[in-house]
Amino acid sequence: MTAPLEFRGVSVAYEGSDRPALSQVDLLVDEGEFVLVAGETGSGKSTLLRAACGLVPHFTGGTLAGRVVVAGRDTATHRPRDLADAIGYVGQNPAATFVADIVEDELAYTMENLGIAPDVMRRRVEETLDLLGIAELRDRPLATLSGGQQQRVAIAAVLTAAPRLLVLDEPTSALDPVAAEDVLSSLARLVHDVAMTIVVAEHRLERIVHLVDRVVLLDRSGRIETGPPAEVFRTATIGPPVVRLGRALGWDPLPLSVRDARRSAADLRTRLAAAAVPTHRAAGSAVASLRRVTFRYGGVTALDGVDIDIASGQIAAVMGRNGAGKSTLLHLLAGAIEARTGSVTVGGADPRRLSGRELIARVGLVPQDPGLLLYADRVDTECALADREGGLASGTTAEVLRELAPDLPADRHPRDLSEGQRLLLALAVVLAHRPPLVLLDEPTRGLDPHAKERLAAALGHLADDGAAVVLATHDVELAAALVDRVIVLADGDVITDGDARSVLCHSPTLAPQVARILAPLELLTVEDVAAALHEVG
Amino acid sequence: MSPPPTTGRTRSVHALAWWGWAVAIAFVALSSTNLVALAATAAAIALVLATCAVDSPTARAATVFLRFGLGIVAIRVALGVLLGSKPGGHVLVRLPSATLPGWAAGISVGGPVSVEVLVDALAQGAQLGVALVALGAVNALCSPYRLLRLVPAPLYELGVAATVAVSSAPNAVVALDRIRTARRLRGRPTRGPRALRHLALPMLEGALDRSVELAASMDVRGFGRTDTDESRRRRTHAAMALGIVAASIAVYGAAVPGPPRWIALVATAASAVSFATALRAGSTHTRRSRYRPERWDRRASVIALGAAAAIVGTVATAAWAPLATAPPVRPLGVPAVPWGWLVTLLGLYLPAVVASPVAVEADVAART
Repeated sequence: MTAPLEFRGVSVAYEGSDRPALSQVDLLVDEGEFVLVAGETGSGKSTLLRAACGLVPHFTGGTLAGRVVVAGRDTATHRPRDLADAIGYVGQNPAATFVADIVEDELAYTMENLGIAPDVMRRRVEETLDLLGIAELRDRPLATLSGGQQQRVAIAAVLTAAPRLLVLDEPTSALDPVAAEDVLSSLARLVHDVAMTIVVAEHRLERIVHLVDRVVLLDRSGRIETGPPAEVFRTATIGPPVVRLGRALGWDPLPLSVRDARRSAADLRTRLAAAAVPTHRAAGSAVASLRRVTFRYGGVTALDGVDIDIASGQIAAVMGRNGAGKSTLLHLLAGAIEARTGSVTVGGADPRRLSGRELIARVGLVPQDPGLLLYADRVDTECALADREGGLASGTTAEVLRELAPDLPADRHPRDLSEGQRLLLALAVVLAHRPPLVLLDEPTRGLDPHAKERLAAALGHLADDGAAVVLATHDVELAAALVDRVIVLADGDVITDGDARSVLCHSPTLAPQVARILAPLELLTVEDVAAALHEVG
Repeated sequence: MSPPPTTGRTRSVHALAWWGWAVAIAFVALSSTNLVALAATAAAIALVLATCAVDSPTARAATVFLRFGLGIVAIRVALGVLLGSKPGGHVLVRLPSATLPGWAAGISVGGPVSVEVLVDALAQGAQLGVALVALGAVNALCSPYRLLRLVPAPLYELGVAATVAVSSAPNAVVALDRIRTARRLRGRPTRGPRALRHLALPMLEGALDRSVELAASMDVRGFGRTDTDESRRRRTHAAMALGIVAASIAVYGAAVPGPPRWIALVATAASAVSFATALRAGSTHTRRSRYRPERWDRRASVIALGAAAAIVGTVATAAWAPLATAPPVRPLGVPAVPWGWLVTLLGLYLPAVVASPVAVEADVAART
């Protein structure tokens, strides 16, 4: 029997790009393998996955050299639709790919196209609903599902066609930690119980490395390196905290899960027990406050009588499940929406009453999709536009951008930038007005570890200079590395609000990997551990 | 045995029944200027929506249609007041009047506004308004996706284009909200003509992006798989093209008085044969199956019969009592609706009786 997926000397180049997206890739995925594709943003992960199902080049254009063979069928002679029974592809944003309007119909859609007999369809729909634990959703309109549910329905919808191979592009990037866990454990179950072959691209390595058999690491030049995770991550520049801790301490074998690491860390815990717990930035003066704020949309209460004060010189993270009211909170502070009851004050004024120019001088919000903030067709005109909006000296925004991202090409269209570059451009546009309050909604979505580090450094400087920074995020590792205060929302209420270290260390869902390994010590990151080791000598 | 689910597929009525109901309402509304009858059909929409609507994104489109319908009534009334003044009648108010110069067809603007003119404009606006709202309401009762599934295989591509178009409208509304918020974040105005120009482009861009993404998703999920018999596919397309040409000739022949009658008849027959051939060939070369096809049940029959009764009643009334379907505006008064017609219009209320969740639960309880 042929392998589910084989790349033979595959190179992909897009028109107008100076370097290939993939270069001489040879890859053989065996039956029943669980493969992780990792690499920096823009390193060609999506291209690799889309080439596997034929969307590259049939749908996206570009030039593909070499051959991609899916279950014995060459994508050069088979269009994506001719591969639908062999490979199931789930894209980054499942909500945008739904065809039907009810869960059950969505599950049947691929089978209908394949002309599968009604009784077989019926059986497979039932089996798949059970396999992914979504039987209770069968009659629900797709638009009413939460992010995690949508992702599982999207997976179920391609599984019903009984493909030999499942390909997923960042299935958890938009999900809160618990929903992400649900989706990944569904995948692990498919691998173990049904021997499904799965190829998945993922940025948040900490969620997945311990589940996979093999890692395909892509570099900027489009070349790959492949091997078992413990081998690849020994030398890779990226890796989840557990791996970086293992590398820093020279543990062998390299731990991949918190469990492995915790068992090797008994000595470390006793050595570090005497080390002092690092301290956070101190809170400055009050910059903004919410008093008894309630906000509803449709019939849903997003925030219910919330009291929060934001202080200067600190970074706060707003965390909580999808739909807990995080974005609503930021949009209220930014004056983009109006509270139903209660009062919002930013810099002593109600942000809804401020004129445009007054508003952007007091508060700046980078939304979840930073592209929404950008209008111009070139990076430099975008910067000039931002200068004019705020009545700033010409070149101010460009200067801010140079500090954030020195190598951003000025003549590029913002749509052609990578996700991370676009975020930094939007951030520059916001920061140019020097607002004392900076808000970011899910800033690390789609960012690779290096881009994340650059962003964290920029935000750290901002807080050190006295600005108040608030981020809504699902990314516990980012929160661990960066923030001073954590506010947890659930169902529109503030559940926890306190010092980041104590909140993160004592939450079963929000604790970062290092805290789990070293509990009860209150250390959050590999850098914390290094500093503590240095201190105890 | 587990109890039947209380929502979704098990209780949904055949999509064609719903569309038949909506078309019947549109037909009644468009063929009568009787305000009492129009009010009766509007009430039917309101009652059925209140009892049978399902919650879905397309259901929210119904409110858009409702606003659109009200807007049309308002525009028609305003035009009637401005341009439609006639002397006589019960004058309410006298607007200053002016006659446009000859090159503007000498239309007179303003003048006395009488109750009669208002009633006339209201009736004509309501005709279009009610018809539109009926088409919006059907979106709330059964999603357009279900109608698409009933489209015969060769027309499937057309149906898909229609679905993508229909689904992109609510998405555009959502996108517009996000774009407006983002403009506020950059401190720019969110209303006014200049804002509109800057809103429209990103909105279209977003809608286009989504359509492309949807198309990619449909492709990887096997949409449009056909057998590889190229010649048969070409024959289907040729037959379709021929049918369209013949149909155009038929319409032209029927509409224009010049050419002899038989040309239209022959062209009609030719187009019917071509379409039938295309459909037949098409359904054999597209291998598609149906998961739980729509089922025509007793409720669907009742709704369809009610709709048919309303259409027949309206046609009959128009033939035998034209004063009832098109009542004269003068003298003023409540227009009469013959009993026979009123009874047939009640057919449009039947969905509320047979298809509401309450009725279905009672039915299920009675059978078990």
